[in-house]
Amino acid sequence: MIDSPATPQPRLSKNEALERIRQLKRWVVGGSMATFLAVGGLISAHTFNWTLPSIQSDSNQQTQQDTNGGFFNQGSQTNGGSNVGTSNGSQPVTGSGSS
Amino acid sequence: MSAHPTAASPSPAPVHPNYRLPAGIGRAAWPAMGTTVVVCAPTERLAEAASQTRELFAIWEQALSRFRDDSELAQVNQQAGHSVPVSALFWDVLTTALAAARATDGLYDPTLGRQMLRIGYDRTFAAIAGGILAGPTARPLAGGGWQGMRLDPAARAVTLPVGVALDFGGIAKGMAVDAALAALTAAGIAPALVNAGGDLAANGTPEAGSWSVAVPGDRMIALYAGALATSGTDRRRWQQGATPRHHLIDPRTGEPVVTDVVAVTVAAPRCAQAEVAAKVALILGERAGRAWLRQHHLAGQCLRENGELWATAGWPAKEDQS
Repeated sequence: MIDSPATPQPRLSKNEALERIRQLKRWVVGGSMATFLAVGGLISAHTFNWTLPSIQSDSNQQTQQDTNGGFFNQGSQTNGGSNVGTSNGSQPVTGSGSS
Repeated sequence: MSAHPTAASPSPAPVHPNYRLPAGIGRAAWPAMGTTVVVCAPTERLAEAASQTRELFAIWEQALSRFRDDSELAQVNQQAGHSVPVSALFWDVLTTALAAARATDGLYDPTLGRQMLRIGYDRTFAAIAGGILAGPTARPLAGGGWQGMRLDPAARAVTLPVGVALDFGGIAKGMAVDAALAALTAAGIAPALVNAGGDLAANGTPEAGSWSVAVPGDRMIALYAGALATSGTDRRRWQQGATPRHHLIDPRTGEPVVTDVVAVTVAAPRCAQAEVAAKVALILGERAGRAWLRQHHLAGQCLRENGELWATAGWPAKEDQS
């Protein structure tokens, strides 16, 4: 086979060249925004440690986050220590053992 | 539940020979939720208090027992991977258990049902006590399955991840004690004390000024209000193959907790809180458990294998030191 000589590419007009540059700019801007959003999302997820069970409504998500860590704050504001003291009785009424 | 005695009939549960009731207070006891439930209340309202509490525990056991094929919990476990509508009671216990799991960074884990089966605790403890079970056929599996659960509050439905099973364990018992006591309070029955296998709470004090409660380490403390719970490795033990087992699983390993702590007792405003806190402190062991209780401003004591006791601030000093 005989290689045919390469056909020279036709030169772009100035308007065509400018249009291609504009398209390239749009791709660069769009790609940058998508990358920013993806990385931002990953960082947010890591920062807030979103390991809660999946919640299917916004109102419940609020409730779940409010109770996160609040389990031991329910009930009296005083700690359990204020509810116990040294017994003066000689015999117990009942017992708290391993169950 | 039909086998349970009426409040007026003699209790089938053994009563500690040294237990003594305050003046004007009566006691009723019956088996429920895999343990013995005791109600202490003014004598004239004891029958009412016992009837009300017995009915409540029967309903809770029917919904939450791991050992009843027809329980709501069994139905949810059998349908892992599918959205299952649940009752208001089940939803309340589930969301509370998940709050406890988050508050303890997963050291309390309501999704250790599979791990319990693996170590042989697949039927009531009465049925496995004393026997030697076959060794496990599967490798240990760490917990944390609760993080993959999906809740739909609008439909009040729950979806368990495939391969995950719920076992509420002690928190259901603690919540049942809290609910029973709240019902007694609402009915004007006070002072009253409800004790489910060592997880107990009171809504007032008898004329003596407090409830004297025996706790591990041959100690006795006065309870004025709120709740006490004990978690320990000294009960519910069995043999699986050549391996001794107990019922408290460390969710980090999926195996029974290995610790030099025998029992932890914690006081808290509510019984469910005390129960979870005692379990977490036991799992963490002596040093980290004590720090964890301090961090959460909870008073408690720990009995070590060598018989030594330590206590956090707020826990009463030993009787001979007072």
